[in-house]
Amino acid sequence: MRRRKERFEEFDWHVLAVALVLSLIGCVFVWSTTIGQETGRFPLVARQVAYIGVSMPLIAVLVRVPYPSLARMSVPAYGIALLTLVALLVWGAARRETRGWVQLPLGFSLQPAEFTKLAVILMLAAYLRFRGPPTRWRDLVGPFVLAGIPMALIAKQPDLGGAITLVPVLIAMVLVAGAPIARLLSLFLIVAVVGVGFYYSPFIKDYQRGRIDAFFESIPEKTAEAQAYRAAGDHKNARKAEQELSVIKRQSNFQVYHAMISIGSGGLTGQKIGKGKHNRLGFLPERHNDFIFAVIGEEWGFVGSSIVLWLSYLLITLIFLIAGRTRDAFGRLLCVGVGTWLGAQTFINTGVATGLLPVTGLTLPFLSAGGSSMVASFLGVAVVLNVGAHRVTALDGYSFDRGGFAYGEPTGRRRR
Amino acid sequence: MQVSGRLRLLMIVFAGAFAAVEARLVHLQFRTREFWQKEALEARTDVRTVNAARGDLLDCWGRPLAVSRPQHTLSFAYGPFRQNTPIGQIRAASRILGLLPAYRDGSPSVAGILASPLEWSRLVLERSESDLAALPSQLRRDFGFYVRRLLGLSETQYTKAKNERGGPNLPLFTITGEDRDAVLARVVDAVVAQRAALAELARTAEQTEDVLVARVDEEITTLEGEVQRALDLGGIQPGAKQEALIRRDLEYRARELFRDVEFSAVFAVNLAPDVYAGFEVHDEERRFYPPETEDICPILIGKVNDPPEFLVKQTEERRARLLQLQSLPPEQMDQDTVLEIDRLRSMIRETDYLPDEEMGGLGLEALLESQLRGKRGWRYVETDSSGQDQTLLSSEPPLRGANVRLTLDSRLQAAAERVLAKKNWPGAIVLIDPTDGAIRAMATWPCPTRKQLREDYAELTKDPRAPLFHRVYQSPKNPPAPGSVFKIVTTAAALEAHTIGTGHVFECERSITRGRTTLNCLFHHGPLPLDVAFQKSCNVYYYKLGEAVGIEPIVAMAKRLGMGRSTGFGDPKFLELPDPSTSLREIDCAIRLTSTEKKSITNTMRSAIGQATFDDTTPLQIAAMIAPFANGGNVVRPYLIDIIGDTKAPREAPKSAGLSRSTIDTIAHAMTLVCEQGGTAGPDPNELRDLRPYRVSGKTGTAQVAKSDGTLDKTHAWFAGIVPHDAPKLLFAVFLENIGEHGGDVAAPLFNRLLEQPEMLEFLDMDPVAPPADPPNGPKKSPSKDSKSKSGAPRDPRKER
Repeated sequence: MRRRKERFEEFDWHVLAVALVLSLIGCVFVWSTTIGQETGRFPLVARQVAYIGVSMPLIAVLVRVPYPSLARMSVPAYGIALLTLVALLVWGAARRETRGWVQLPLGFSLQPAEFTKLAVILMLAAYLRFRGPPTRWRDLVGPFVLAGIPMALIAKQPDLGGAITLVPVLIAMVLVAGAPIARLLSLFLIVAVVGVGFYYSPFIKDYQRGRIDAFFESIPEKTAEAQAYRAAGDHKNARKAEQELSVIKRQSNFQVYHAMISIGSGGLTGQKIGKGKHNRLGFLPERHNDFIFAVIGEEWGFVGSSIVLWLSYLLITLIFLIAGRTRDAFGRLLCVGVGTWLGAQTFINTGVATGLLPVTGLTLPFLSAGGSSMVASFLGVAVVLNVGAHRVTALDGYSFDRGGFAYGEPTGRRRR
Repeated sequence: MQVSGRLRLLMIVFAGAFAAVEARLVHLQFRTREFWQKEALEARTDVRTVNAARGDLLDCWGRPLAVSRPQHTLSFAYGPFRQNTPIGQIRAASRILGLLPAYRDGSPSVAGILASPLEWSRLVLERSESDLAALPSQLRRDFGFYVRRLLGLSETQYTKAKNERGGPNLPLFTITGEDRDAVLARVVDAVVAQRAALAELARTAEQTEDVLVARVDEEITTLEGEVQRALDLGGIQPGAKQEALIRRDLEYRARELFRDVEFSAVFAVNLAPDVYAGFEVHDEERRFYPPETEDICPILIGKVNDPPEFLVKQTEERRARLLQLQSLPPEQMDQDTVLEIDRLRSMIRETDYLPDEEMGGLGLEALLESQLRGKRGWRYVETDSSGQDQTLLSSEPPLRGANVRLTLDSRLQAAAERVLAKKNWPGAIVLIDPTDGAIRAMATWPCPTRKQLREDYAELTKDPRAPLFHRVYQSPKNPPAPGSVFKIVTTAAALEAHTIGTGHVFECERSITRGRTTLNCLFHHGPLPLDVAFQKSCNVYYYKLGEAVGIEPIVAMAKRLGMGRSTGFGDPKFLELPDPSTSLREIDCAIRLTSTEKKSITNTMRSAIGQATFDDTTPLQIAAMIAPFANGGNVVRPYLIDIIGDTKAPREAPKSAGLSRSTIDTIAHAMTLVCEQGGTAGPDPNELRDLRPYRVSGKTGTAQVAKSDGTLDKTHAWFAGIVPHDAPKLLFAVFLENIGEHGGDVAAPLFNRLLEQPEMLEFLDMDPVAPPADPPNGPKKSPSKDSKSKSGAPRDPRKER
């Protein structure tokens, strides 16, 4: 008993508490988006609570397994993840235009891509832990290939957002593993230059370029332009501008337009929970999952959405702090991977809802409706908690790789 | 230290990223907040107009002549039709094919698809994916959608089957794995089933299937035209994403097909939405002319039609102007602009005509448009994203138009029209209340039926019989002269001027010569006293009388009796109405007398018998002119509109003509003599005429008509007077245009026929009298001839039997 207690000395309740608060806020707003329009056997919010309920015992179990043993599970987990993704591509049911879903009984469905991300993080952490700091160019090939294969498979579903989340995860993990910053920066520059060049190249079709332009088009400015034409009595140009505006609003940037309306009309304190007009009248698309942040913006206003945003930041900061306290590279990389994953997904999701980024279709961790996202996020938290709780044990000489710490002990330098 | 620094770097990067989102929140929720709130309001609210019911037109007993009642209107929207019905799917798919040069020759009309369903199905289903390769991706997808729906596959099944089969060169019908003929037979069967459904729908509108299909095709053509115009305006290529948006806006707009369909259409359309997709039935207050009264002088009652093009265009201009003003920057918004915006907005919302709104287009419907129309209401509603109303934010209920009660008695009117129609002589009958001039009936012939007016208006305008002229107050040619009916005025002028006494005798020598002009009489009457000359309508007597009185007293008397001016019964200015161009405009009845004519003795003589100076009159005027001899000396001004809403329409009170009692009595008595034995309208079985039982007094007239080249045309026949003469209930004027016969021979018998009508007898509270033609051999010796008294005492008509 004493030993067990000692083992859980460093169990970080803060991380779990913040994650729980976020998921409860999520439940409130999932409820708000579904008032009066439930048709299924299980109300969405009840399912959401059930997912949280399912996640808690999972965390309890996972935290008890010392994390170094996870490293042994990394290869099978990665393999299963890849196999699942391939299987999904081949037999996956077409749903919402993506083949990323597995139908389960009772109307539930599973989105394996969410769990795949965790498997990839595990694999990368184990790989980087054994290979040591990727200081040379060719050291980067391994992690890039390991992350690249599932990214390609996820992107093929097609779920571009799910694939893109893995990019910051990969970069953060190789960065923390010790890759030279200059190399990563130069890589980034190359990607940026290629991207910009691609925009002006003939490979990209006009309508695709139009979509990119539409993203950068500011709706209020375009409206002002149309109004100026009207005021000058130039009805022809005004009609043309209005037509373009209508295409942006109703087609090329339809979802974000309504998300921005929702957030913008929230103001300082919002329209109260369950009273957001744009949400309640059904104008906001995907409001219970991808655009739940817009509902928060409308019903809780600036105050509420800022609280949610910075609570999420607090969560990843706490995770990074655990990483900072962990001297073992594997544990640290796991924390960095999970933290970056959650942080990147939160940033991309809120960035899309506020019109900062183009639409990708990512959930907001802990807040969006959906069991896979919720359980996967809590599993990520469980891994972090595990690292936090077991890092002392890990340092106590329990070596999981039998060969001791294989490389230059970056954690050793912090020893006081 | 290095790694810890890298963790810190990560945290800083995330802090920066989240700060960017926060900055974006500030931008949206503070800096552009008003804009988004406005956009939100615009997205979720809608102003819906509610049409007001038109006011009813009622006759003097409150019988409806034109009412508003809810009607079921069948309308059509192409969008749901093309998505959900086999014919629509084939049509939409062939339209996409038509964009390819190889298939350009097909014109996919619904009628065409119904005529040869197999050919069109094959055209669509035998295409392969490679056939469509030249189309933009959006159109390829659309084409796939229609094929999928035609084959009855779900999206999953279709995609799966398409990916699993041989390759892009296989025709699309192979997707189901069935035999080609089986697939085609299934599709053709679906088309045939829909055709049967359409025939059923056409029946509810009392149309044939072909008419319905033609209307649908017409609306689709209109739609394609609108789409093309919108595309041209925006410079959009076919197949571009914008086209889909424009199409969605236009294709889901319901377009009216037929009004007044049967109620069963509501059931059909709602119970079988798959074959009737696109067809809608909705209730609307629409003008309805009750069958019992619908053919009552439709050119007088009028009709409703869609507002003219220029009004619709005017609304569009106002809308553009409103948008312009609303877009002005705040610093340019002065008081006037704000007022103009309010004015424009309320005009567009409330008073401007909607393209399918009913607008009075003729007759009283046009004259009383502003009263009958009412005011449109609106509902400002909050809708959900699918456009369903959720909350009513504010509203203004529609204001029903005012009911208008006419002085017309629809039963008398019907009787008068029936009598005229039976003879089929162009002419008019007008019946007026003698005390105040209320018009009880104004029948004209030829008169179109309501159906003709609705359907063949253009032909009616070209008809040489001029059926659109209401001969009671209008004339297709020169206005008619009153002829001998005018002798009433000459007599009154002579008696009032004391030129002659009541017993004065002039001799009729058959003709009279003044200067080089010889004027004739019909008979050689010999010496005649005034009342007999009036009874027999001796022209020579009146030439001499006119000569004795002179032109000026006669003109003065005519004016005193209300001639020489329009009666003003439908004058918008008099009724304090705005002036619509209306079919109620009376002809000008001015008395024209030049100074040379004033000096001409023959002109004076001819004027005395109602030609020359006084040759511009209308039956309405003639009937009104007799009023003083029926009501004790008051001149009345005829009016038709009695009550608008709950206020009495403006009218002129009867005022004394200033005639002496003896003049009135003498003329009234002379008028009774006209209908007695020996009078021009006296009993005559050959003319099927015996007006005595109905106690009619009157004056016949036969007016000469000069053609434009100066030669004589066929004469007009007149008969005007009072019935019953002892207790006047009606003034009447019968006018037969270019009949070529004498008033006593045609106009008086015609009025006799009218008196025999049950409606007329009921109105006059008289008993029916056997037609005078009963004894075929010779005139019936009337016992009343002996008991004829100069005092004009009432006689019991029952004695006549």
